[in-house]
Amino acid sequence: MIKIEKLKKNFGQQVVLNDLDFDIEDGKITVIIGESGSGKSVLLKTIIGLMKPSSGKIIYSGRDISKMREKELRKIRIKFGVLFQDAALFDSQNVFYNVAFPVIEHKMAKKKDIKNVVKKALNVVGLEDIENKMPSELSGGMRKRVGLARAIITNPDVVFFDEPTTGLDPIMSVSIGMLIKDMQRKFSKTCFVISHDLNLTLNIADTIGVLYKGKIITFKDKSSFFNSDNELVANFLKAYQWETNYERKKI
Amino acid sequence: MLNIFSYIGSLTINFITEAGGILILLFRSIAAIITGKPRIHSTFQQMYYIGVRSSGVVILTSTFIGMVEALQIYHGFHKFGAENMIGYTVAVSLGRELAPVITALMVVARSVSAMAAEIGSMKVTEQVDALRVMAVDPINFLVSPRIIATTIMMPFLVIISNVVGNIGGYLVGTIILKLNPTSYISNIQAFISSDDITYGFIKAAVFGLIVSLIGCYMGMNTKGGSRGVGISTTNAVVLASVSVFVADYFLSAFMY
Repeated sequence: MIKIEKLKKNFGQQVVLNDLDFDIEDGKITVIIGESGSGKSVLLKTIIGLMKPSSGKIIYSGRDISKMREKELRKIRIKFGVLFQDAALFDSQNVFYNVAFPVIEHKMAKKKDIKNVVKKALNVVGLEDIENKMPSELSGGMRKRVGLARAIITNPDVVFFDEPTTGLDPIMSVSIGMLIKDMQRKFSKTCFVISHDLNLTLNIADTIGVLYKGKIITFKDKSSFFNSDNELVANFLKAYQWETNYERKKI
Repeated sequence: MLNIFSYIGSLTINFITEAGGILILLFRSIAAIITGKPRIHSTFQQMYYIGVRSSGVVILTSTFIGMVEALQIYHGFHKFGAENMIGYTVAVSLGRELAPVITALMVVARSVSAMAAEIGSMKVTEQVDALRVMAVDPINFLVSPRIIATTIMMPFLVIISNVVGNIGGYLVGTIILKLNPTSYISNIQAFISSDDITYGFIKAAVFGLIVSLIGCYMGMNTKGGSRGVGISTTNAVVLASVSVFVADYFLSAFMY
């Protein structure tokens, strides 16, 4: 479990994250939703140690990782997998090298086995025979899948997703959502997702948090989320219903 | 009046910040080389890219520098009947000064700009962050191989520059200026000292270290999309070029 305690992040005078307290439970999908500029990406980057919090704690395996130096953090990060918003694939390398990269770097498999390990990871995300393609030859959805294959190839304890459906068409968004859900079911992974996509959130989440102006205004399991009396959550759900009805009418 | 002071003040703060950042990157790179994973393959790749692939442009520019030098020196030395010393003068000015400076500028134009652009675009597309979350030190992975490769390859490029520059000078001296080929070469042999050449190599290595550090620093500190990559690349080229001249003065003053 990852425990976030009184997490605060300021950029000068601007408070981006304000006293956040929540837990990311083992084997579950926790989704933090919020509108653009609410501090979602900063939250994710702070949890995975790409940014240092101004104050507060991030407890993982009983240790406060927010105070760790980069060298110490590297040992922890091996247990994390991250899917970045634009997948962050290495442009100059092919799919095989991109996916194999963490395995090669940390010598997690024998040289002769790497090919199979990569193939397996690509199969998990529903891809095959694309090892020799360059990232520039892939569609947005395929890039995300390759990014996800790279994130899970080391068999991490926790997988983080930064806006996994941004820039994807609705069908691909659903398919990425299903992939996350499948992966969590099959491998019991702890998943932490930040998104502004309510559709995805309601489809995959076990626990939902709403980040608004740097504060978590609600943090509940999915069933309680629907019954929330919070005005902002109600607005979120209304917008979702409106969008769903509109889509239905269009069809 | 207050504006001028504030402008000078902000320039000074910027200069100190950038210089401090580059120095910190140097220390972190040294630490990454010593304690980090050896990056032999990517260092050789960079040596090929920075050294071998830059040799063409170094050969071309150095040949013309040698040729122009022979011509220009002839006009001065002719007045004193010292034409025989042209070969030596070309050799010593190339060895101590022109070869390392011109080579450094060519490497800046060709490779340092590429370093800043490549690392910069990796930074803005979160590839550098991806390295960090995959528990890989970006300094060890991206910066150290480039710094080692540039520092090693610069003296080799200077050897090439010296050789072709002198050949250029020799050809202009003997074919166009009708100087005696034997005395052209024998005067070089008689007067040139090993210091004239080794100082150039030392300069080259130091220039290599400085320009590659600047290229990597600018790349690693890129912000804000493709425009940011363009700004970083321009800043890297300008700062690295100016640094070559500044370092050249101090190295010359120190070594003479």
